[in-house]
Amino acid sequence: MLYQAKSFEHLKGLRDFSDQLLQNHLALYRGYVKNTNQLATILLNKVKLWKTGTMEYAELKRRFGWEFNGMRLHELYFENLTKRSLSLKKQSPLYEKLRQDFGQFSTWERGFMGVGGMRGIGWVVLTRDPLTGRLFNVWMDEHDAGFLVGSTPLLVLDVFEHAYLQDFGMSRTAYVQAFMKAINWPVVEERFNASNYIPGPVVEVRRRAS
Amino acid sequence: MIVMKEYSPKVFDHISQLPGFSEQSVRTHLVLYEGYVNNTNLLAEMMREWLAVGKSGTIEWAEMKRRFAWEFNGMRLHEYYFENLTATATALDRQSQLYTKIEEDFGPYELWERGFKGTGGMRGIGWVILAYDVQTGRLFNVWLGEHDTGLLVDTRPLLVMDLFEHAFLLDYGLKRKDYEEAFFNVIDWGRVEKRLEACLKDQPIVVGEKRRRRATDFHN
Repeated sequence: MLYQAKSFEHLKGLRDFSDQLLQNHLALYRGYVKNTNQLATILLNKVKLWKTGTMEYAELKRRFGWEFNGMRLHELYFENLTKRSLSLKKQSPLYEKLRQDFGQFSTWERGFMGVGGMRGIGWVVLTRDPLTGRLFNVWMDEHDAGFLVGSTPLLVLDVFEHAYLQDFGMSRTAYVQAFMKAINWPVVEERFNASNYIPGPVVEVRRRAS
Repeated sequence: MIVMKEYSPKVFDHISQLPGFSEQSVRTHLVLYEGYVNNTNLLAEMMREWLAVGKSGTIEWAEMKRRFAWEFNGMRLHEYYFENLTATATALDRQSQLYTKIEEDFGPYELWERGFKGTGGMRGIGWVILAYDVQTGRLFNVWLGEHDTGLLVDTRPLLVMDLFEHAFLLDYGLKRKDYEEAFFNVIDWGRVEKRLEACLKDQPIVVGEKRRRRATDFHN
């Protein structure tokens, strides 16, 4: 199997989240892993059998990004949660970058939570554009819609109904607040520190070449 | 801003005691529905106001416009859905026009049901609709990946099933099939038949004479 479902059992007992919700959420996640593997296998077999010109191949291909991202986004989400959450250190490079790009940390936070409050289901992602190093709070309507090409996700918030309905009912604000209190900042910092910033726009290189 | 209430939430008291559905789940669902009604009104009014003061060229106005179908359909689809549910359901009458129509277009009734439920079993959230094509009279089982995506143009919904997580998660957890079974047990077939009747009244298509109808379709 190409992808193995990761274990996030350590999240059981997460503050404000019931184990039942978490269990369902993890079961859903495993579904994405399973289907990513299955789709990848079917797609490759179709290529081997010269069936790329078929409707099925095209439709399975269309679906792949949805399953893959459903898997990956959930992994990023679970990974950036912890039972022992501490606030982001003011001395950290990430804090400094958030302050730089959004004005104040609280402004970033308000923006991120605001995106989480948008009507409809989806994802909220704090992501970094490697070409400018700039951070963005991004809304994704679906697993495969709205992600900024080439950017590196740093913090991921799931706002599909399965992420909160059982525990928070219609109070999405309460859920987003609970999420903010459960962020595993060291993981987010690690992602930030590992994210590549390619200084200088690509355009310049091209101009010189021509 | 004074919001003109063009749409008001309909009352769906008849589903408060729905077999297979908890009161909490139904209540939650109705609250969500009212959100769509409120936001449809709000958006419509905001767009009108912005237009009146010459701000239709703004990015905000464009985004409101883009969002409108999502709110409107979120309202309307829920209304169709709640309306085609009943606490006192009976099976679809085999002598009905609807039954005949379904067998005409899908073969045996069971095949249609399998297709409709199969569409509901697709991965991801959305809606399943049995839709009537106004131009040919043909029925289709349609998948909507969102309120505003996938509906066939110039078709009318006859039967609507909600497959957003709020529709089943509270009562059935991840067992979507169980929810679909429960849904099928509470379909108000009388209502669905009335919807078909209304379609046929607007554009009469002879039900039960498949060949003749098909032949004319191709000549149109």
